[in-house]
Amino acid sequence: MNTDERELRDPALVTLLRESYRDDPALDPAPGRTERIMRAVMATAPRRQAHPFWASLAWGFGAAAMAILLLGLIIGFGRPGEKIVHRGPDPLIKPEQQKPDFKLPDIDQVANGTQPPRPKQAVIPDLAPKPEEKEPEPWPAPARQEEPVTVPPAPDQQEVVVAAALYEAGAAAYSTGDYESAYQAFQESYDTVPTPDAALSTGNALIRMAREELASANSDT
Amino acid sequence: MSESEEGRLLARAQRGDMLAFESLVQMHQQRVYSHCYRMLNNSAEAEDLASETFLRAFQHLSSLRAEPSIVFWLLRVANNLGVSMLRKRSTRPEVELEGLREQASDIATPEEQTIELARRDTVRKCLRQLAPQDRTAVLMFYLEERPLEEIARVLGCGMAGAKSRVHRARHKLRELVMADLGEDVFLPTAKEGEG
Repeated sequence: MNTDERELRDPALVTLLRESYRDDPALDPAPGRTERIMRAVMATAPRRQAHPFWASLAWGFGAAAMAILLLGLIIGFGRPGEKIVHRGPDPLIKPEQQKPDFKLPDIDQVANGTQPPRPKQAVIPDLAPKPEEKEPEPWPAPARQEEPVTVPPAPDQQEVVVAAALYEAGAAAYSTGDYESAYQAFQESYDTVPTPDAALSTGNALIRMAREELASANSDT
Repeated sequence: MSESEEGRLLARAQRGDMLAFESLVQMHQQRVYSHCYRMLNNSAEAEDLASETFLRAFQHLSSLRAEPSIVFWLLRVANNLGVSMLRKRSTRPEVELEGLREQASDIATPEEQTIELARRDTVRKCLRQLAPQDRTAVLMFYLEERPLEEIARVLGCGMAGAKSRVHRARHKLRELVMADLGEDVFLPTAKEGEG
């Protein structure tokens, strides 16, 4: 205790104040007060940022600088300005598509009637692409199938005569109602010349024979 | 717990260790709460004030210094917040002292008990009439017997200012108690005795 504190000393007041606050239950250590205070702190305290403010600021400036640099590179920032010079006809334009060299006549010359003769009228070429007439290619001919034609041997005259006689006999039996005999006669006739081609040949042969007979009869007469 | 231990806990708390901060709360909560209670005379408000004080400490954790101790910073914050609360409360009726009627159980007779309770009531009422900073100075110096240096830290003034405030507050309290009780319960200080 220094001199100043000694000057202010007052044991009676100390006693009086101690008596005033003696046995005050509110001043006793309360269980759980620390926990209550910590709960209040945790509930009210703002969540601490993972990064300080200046770090966010630095990131922001860095990102902005990078964006500006990238933009400058894209638009050619820092490149010397190019002068646009007319270098003649554009090689990409075809000669027939180029603008004809045409000058407006001098207005004074037009007024005085001393204008030079007009240049020949330029013929506008037909720029439309001409369709080339092309004959369509012929369709490929289908491959012919060379099937071997088997022509049955023509029946000889004897067989034809026999078959015809059998046929006539069958027809006669059919007309009389003897169907069984007619069937047998037709069957035998068929057996003699069994195929349709052979029957056709038989028919043709019969006709030819009939014609020959008729021709011979005519020649006889 | 030593001051070096407090420094280690503070360093850990500043690195984000909540257990270390809780240990600091555990270390100082009783003193902070008592200070708040003596200012406000209400346990619920005192606990709220203590919580608010530790919340401020958490928010300003990086700027806290363990030399000489964070308790002075805590008491100063609690004192300032308490003054603000008392100013707001000045428009409302004064809070009744808690539990005072049930105290003084060791007084023998009911008559003596009544006199003792009235005396305590008077002293507390007179203390409430002091300005908050004066009340803090008187209670810290005479009740808690803290040195003037600590009082100066808590009040945020110099040693001379703290001494002057203690002296002025004591004088005013003496006048108030004499007017109420009709007796001079204080001893003359060395300075007054000389005068």
